[in-house]
Amino acid sequence: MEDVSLSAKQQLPTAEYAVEVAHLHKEFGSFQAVTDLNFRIAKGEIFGLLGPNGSGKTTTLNMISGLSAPTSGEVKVFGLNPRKQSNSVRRLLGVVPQETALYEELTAERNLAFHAELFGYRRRQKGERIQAMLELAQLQDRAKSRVKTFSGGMKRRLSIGRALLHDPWLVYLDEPTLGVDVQSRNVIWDYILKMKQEGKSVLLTTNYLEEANALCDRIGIIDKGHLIAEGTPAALKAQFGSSVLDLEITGTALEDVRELLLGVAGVQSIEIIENRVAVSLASLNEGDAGTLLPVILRKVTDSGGVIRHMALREPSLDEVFLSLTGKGVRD
Amino acid sequence: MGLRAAFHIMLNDLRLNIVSPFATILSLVVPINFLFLFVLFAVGGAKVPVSVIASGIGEAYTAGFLHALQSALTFHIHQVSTPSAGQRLIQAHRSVATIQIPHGFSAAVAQAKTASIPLTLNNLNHDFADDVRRAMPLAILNFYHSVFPSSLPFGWREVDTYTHNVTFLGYLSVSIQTVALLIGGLLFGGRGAARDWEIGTMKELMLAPIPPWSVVVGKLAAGMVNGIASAVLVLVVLLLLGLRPLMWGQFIGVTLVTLFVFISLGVAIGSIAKSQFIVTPFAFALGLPLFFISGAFGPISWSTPAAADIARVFPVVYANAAFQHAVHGYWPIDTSPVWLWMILLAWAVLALCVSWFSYRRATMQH
Repeated sequence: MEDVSLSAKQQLPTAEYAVEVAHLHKEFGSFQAVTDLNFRIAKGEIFGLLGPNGSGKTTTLNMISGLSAPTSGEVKVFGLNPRKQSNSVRRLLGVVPQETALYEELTAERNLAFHAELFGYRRRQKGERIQAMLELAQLQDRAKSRVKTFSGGMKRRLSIGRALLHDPWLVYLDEPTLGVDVQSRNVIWDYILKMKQEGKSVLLTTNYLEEANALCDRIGIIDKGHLIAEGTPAALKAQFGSSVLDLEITGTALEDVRELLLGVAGVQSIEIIENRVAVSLASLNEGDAGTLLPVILRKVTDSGGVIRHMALREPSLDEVFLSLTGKGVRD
Repeated sequence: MGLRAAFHIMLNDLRLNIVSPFATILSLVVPINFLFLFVLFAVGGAKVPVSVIASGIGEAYTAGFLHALQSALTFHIHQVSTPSAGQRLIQAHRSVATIQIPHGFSAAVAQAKTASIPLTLNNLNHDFADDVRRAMPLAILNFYHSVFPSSLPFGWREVDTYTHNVTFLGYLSVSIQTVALLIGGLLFGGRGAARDWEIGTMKELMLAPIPPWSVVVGKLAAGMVNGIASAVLVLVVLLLLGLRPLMWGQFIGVTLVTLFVFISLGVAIGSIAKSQFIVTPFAFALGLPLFFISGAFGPISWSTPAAADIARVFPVVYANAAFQHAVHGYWPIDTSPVWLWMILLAWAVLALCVSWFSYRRATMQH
C-alpha cells in the first residue's frame, strides 16, 4: 500500500467516545426494528457490528448517521446529536456503502471532485485531496477513466477514497470486501488498519467473520434488534468454549451422538454442521485432554458411530455467531 | 453553502445528462416526431384527391366549373383525359372520385338546359366520400356565383376577426413546443431524481453537510438548463417553419413556467418511483393523453364539454393557449390572460411543493 496519509488534519473532536448508543429503540409501526440497544465505540477503535440480514444493523447505522430518528433512546457521535447537529456529524463521518454507489458514467476524478464540492472544498485544497485519495486508492493512472470500466476492487477502493476525502474521524464501512478479489481485500484491510493507526474510529459490518476476527478490536452481535453479545473476538470465542473437537462420524445418527455427548461433564455445547459434530469444550488443559477426550470418543464408538476424522482446534466466530443467533451470518 | 451545493449538484446532473443523453434525445425526438405526424395529418387529411375529365376545356363554362372545383377548398385535382384513366387512379388508391365535365356542358349551361356531371365515387373511404358529397353542391354554387352573379338572390360579406389566417398546420406546429416541455420536463426532472436513488448515490447527497433543499434546487436547476436547451432547438424548428413568435416575452415566459411545472412534477415522480425505468413510461402515459385533450388540435371549446372540463384542471391547456397567442396573436381559450397566468403560476408553486414533499418523504423513509 502507498504510504499516503488519510488525514487532511481535521481536528480530532474532544469527546471521549466516537459513538455512544444508549437505550436505543426504533419502531416502524408495530415492528420493533431495534430494541434497547447499548454500545460504545472508543476513539481509534475498530468495532464490528455483525448480524443476520434484517437484524437491525442498517437501522442502527441510519440512526448513527442521522438519516433516521430514533423512536426513543440516544445516539451521540463524538458527543454530538446526529439529528440536531447533523452537519457537524456529517463532517466527522465517512461512509463506504455496500453497493459502492459511484457515478459510473463519470471519471474517478470527477466522482471525488463532486464529493469534495459537496463538502465545500475550494479549488486548491480540493485538488490536493483528490490527488491524495487517488494515490491512496492506487488509481492515479486511471483518474480520467470512467468508473464503469473499473473492476469491483477498483470501485471499492475508489469508494473508500471518496469516504475518506473529507478526512472523517469515524468511518463506517458496510461489507467493504463483498465481491472483491483477495488482492483487493488485502489492500482494503490495510486501509482499515491504517485508519486505526491514524486515530480514526471504524464501524464495520461484514458477513465474513474471519474479516471481523482479523480487523476488529471489539465486536457486537445484533439479532432481531437486540445486541446479544459484545466483546473482543477472543472473549466472544471464549464464551463458546476454550476448544472445539471436530468429529466426522458415520454409522449413527448425529442427533443421537449430540444427545449422548451433552451429558458429558466438560462439554459445553454441540453443533451439527453437515456430516460432522463440533463439540465445544468448556476448558481443556493437558490433564483434561487425557480424560475428557477418551470419554467422548468411547461414547461415540459405543453408540455404533465410526470416527472418520478428528481435530482439536480453537472455536471460530462463525460458531459463536451460530450458537448465539441460531443461524448463519449469511442467512 | 446551500446554493453552492445546489450549483454543484446541477453541474453534476448536467454532466451525467451529457454522457448519458437519453432524456435529452427523447425530449427532442418526441416533438419532432409529432411535427412530422402533424404535417402528414394536415397534408394527407386536408384535401380529397379526385380526377377531373374536362372534355371541353377550351369552352368558357367548362373552364369556369373547373375553377369552381379548384376553389372549393376540398379537392386535390388530377386532370385526366378519359374515364378509364380516372378509374385506374381510383383502382390505384390515388383518387377517391372521378368527376367528368362532359362535351356540351358549356352549351347546355349557355342555353339554360340541364347538364349532368357524372361522378364516380369510391365510397370505401367514408370520410373522403362525404367530403366529395359536401363539396360538389358547393362547387356548383360557386360556379353560379362566379358566372351568373345576378342569378343568386343573396351573397355574403366576410368580416375577419383577426388580421391574418391561422393555418391548421401552423396551429398544430406551435403545440409541439408544449409537448417538448411536457415530456422533456417530466423526463429531465424524473430521471434526474430517480437516478441517484437507483445507483445509490442519493445516500451520499443525504450524508453531505448540505441542506436538503439544495438537492431539490440542484435537480430542478439541472432540469431547467436541459429543458431550456431542448426548447430552444424546438423553437429553431418552428422558426424554420416560418412560425415566428409575435410576442417573444410571452413565449419565453410560458416556456419557463411550463417547464418548471413539469420538471418539478418529474422530480416528485422520480423521488417516489426511485427508478428511471418507471419514470420514462410514466412520463409518456401521463403526458401524451394530457397533451391530446389540452387543445393540441384546436381550441378546447371545440371538443366535447367533458374533455374540455378535464383539460381545464391541468396546466397544459393554458400553456397551449398562451403559445398560440404568442405566435399567432390568437387567444383560443375563454380564460382571461390574467387568470391564465395566475393558474400557471399557481401550478408552478403547487408542483414545487409536491416535489419538495415527495423528496423529503423519500429521504425519511430511507
